[in-house]
Formats: sequence, structure tokens, C-alpha cells
Amino acid sequence: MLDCETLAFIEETIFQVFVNSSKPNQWFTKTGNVISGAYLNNGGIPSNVVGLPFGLNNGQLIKVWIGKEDASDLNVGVYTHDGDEVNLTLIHTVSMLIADGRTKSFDVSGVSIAKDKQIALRLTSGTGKNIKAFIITSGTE
Amino acid sequence: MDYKILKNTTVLDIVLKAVGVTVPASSQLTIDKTEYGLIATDDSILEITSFINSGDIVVNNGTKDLNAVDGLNFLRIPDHAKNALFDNSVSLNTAIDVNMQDYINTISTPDVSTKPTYLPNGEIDYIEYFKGPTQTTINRKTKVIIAYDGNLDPLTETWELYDNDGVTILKTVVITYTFVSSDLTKSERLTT
Repeated sequence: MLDCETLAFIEETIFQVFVNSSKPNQWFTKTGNVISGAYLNNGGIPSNVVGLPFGLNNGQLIKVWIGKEDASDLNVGVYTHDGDEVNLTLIHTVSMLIADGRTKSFDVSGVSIAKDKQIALRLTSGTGKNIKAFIITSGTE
Repeated sequence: MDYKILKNTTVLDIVLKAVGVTVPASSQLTIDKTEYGLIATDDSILEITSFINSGDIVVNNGTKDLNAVDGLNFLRIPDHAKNALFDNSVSLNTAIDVNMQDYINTISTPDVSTKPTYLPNGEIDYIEYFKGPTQTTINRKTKVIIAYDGNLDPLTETWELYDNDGVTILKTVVITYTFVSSDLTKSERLTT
């Protein structure tokens, strides 16, 4: 007989596996020499036009990874909007320096994402070549 | 002559929302080749047209600035392989009442269909371009015949531009490529 704590743990684990397996593509990319002001694409579409759909309650931004071909200074902003830049809002910014090299991960806390928003990433300053970014979010269904 | 560069002639940044880019003030933005298709979409062209017509944005092909009409036509061509921009100053065959660039634009529009024919080794022997989806001789506008060297690098492209019957050749353009160790070192064009 499993105790309640163990059962709760199992339920949470199953839930997390389900949620994680149902996450949409959370990659954002921009090829070529990217300059300030450019939105990264998600699924081949500029994320300011159609961003990553976010459909969970109590959403949180947990982590941001940035990878690029060159070492450069840049800031990447995480935005939410309602599609086509409607209600475009900057919710978080991460910064990389030349000294950080070509890859860096950022732990994020206390940044909420409202349900049914679209997430966009933008190079808000600096430059980078062939940029990829990956975000991890959490929430409940 | 292989770039799509947007020059901002104003002192303010110009945001092109449909492409998700900003053309910096008094500077320029080189569009990455992977995004030629994106900038050729109707939304992108619609957004950028007013900037180009007003002169706030000038399109450059890596060699020269293009006027508004040519600039917009250049951006409308989504296929990197068709981005060679022919010089309008080339002497024209009187049998064709449009210049070379206009002709190329007519076969680069979305309603044109293509029909490649392959060699036994898988290389393309020739490509035919038809006006519209019906690939009949009467609809044939252009045929591009490709010859290869021993390394399967293209030696020549022969563009045959047809009259309205799809058979009579109005003009032939032969582009000859020179490769050294499979690196392209020279290309020459001969129009007859």
C-alpha cells in the first residue's frame, strides 16, 4: 500500500511527463548576421508575428538558453503578445558578453507568463551570428 | 550581385514587422538568404512598398542601388537560384519587347511552373519554365540546359527564351562557369 506522499509524487511525475511531452517547439532561431531589433523565428515565422503559443495556467519562465556561432555582446528580450505584436510586452531580458563565449544558460525566477499569450524573442541590442535560443516554461493545465 | 540589402536613408530606425527586423537609421541591413522567401511574401512586400516608394528604403543587390520598381521586383523573387539580376543596359534583341530583367521576372512569378528533366546520374539535364500550371509547349517560356564537367560542376547554363509559340527561340543566353577544384572562379554571359 503506497502512502499518500508517494502517490502524490507519482501523480506529479506523471503530470510533469505529460506536460513536458506535450510542449510545443520552444526553439527560437535567426540565421545569418543578426543585428539589434531582429525578432527570432519560431517555426519559421518571426515570433513577433506569431510567437510560441502558451496555454498553461500559472505560467512561469524558468530558463533561457542562448547559443550562437560567434562570441559577441548582446541582449535578448523575452516578450509576450496576443499575435501580430498586439499588446507586445517585454517580460524579461538576458545578457551575454563576449567573455561568455557562444553558449550561456540563464535561470529565471519570478517571471510570469499569462495563459493564451504568444512568446517572442528579440535581439534588443548587440549583434550575433546564427542565433538559437531555447526556453523552458512551467505551468498547470 | 547576390545580396538583398536594405538601405535606410532616414535618421530613424525602420521596423519591418512582417520580417521581424529593424533596418537601422542611416545604415543598412543584409537580408539572410534563408529569409528571401519570408521577405517575398505578400505581407512583407505590402509593408515595405511604401518605404521603397518614398525612398526611405533603397534596395541594393550587392553591386548597385535599384530603383523602386526594380527593388520591389528583386525582393519579390524568393528563390535564391533566380536572384541573378540582369543589367538593363544590355543591348536588347528587338524580337523581345521587354528587357532581360523583365523577362526574368515573368518567369519568377509564383504562377509559373517548372519542369526539371534529369540525367541518369541524377543531375538536372534541363529545366523548363511554363506560364501557369499547364505544362504544354504553347505555355513554355524558357528552357535552361545545364552541362556539367567531370566533377559534376555546371560548365554552362544555356537559357533559351521562347516566343509565344513556346518553340521559336527569341534569344539565347549562355552562362559559362569556370571552376578550380570545384570552386567557382569565373562566370561569363553571352547573349545571342
